[in-house]
Amino acid sequence: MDPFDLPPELAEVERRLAARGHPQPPADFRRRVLSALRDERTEKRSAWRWAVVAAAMLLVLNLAMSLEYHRAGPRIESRAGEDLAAAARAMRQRHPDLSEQEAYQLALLVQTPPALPALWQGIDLWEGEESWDMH
Amino acid sequence: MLRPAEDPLIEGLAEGREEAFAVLYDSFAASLFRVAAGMLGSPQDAEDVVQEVFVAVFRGRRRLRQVENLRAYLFAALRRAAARRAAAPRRQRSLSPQELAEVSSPESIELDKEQAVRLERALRILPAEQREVIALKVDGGLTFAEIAVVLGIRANTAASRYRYGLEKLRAAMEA
Repeated sequence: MDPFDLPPELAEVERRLAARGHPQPPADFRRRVLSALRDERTEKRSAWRWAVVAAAMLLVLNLAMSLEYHRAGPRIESRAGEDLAAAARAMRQRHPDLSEQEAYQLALLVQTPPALPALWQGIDLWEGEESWDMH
Repeated sequence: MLRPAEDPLIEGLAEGREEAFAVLYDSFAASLFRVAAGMLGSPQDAEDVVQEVFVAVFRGRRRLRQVENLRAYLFAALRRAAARRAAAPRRQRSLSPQELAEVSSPESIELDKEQAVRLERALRILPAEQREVIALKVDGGLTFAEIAVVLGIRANTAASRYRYGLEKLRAAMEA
């Protein structure tokens, strides 16, 4: 005998269960489900398309920035270097006791943070200094 | 018997072919809907959950080639979706046992209405694990071996839960 066989009284309950009313899916449910699957496919394709467009835009932006850097970057850098050298020369003219390296470092210090030039204009760092001679 | 990877339906589903999903719907949607409605007590929730299952199968379609039993796989997905839905705030009230008993289908005509209401009421108070097995067996048409796969239990355990559930229903009907 099959261990899953039911005695007649339970088989009757099973029959009643099977015969009871079942809610049925609405008539347009099939169309809705298949349409949801179609939307799913479209959304996925659309997401891929956006990802490809975004990646292409990033690539173009990156290339454009690289080209611009190679075109104008060295000029900007050399311009900054020229300004620094000019500032160092001006400092050495004003304070001939400064070594070339000290003048360069001070020029760099003064030019780097934007707030420092304003300070530099208002305060004479060497006022009252007798000498930097460490002998 | 075809291995899952050789089954044309599985192959069509794995490739995302619409006609394969139409066949899947025609083969399983009604039984999935019945089981979901039995588990959740709300046709509206059942619709959402069944649609969720089809969308989940579509999204994971490439994994279908590894699925041994498609029916058990679908009902396992349904069970997970129904559990999530049952835990979420209710959007629509459940049908009462009377309303469920009144839902028309050709087979239900022969059942006495009062008995049908009593049966629905008795089903509601069954322990969830027995109600689940009954829904999968009677409404879903699954074998005990398939129920065992869906619930992650042994087939004998599934059969025992089914039998205990039927005994409780019988007692409730006779009370």
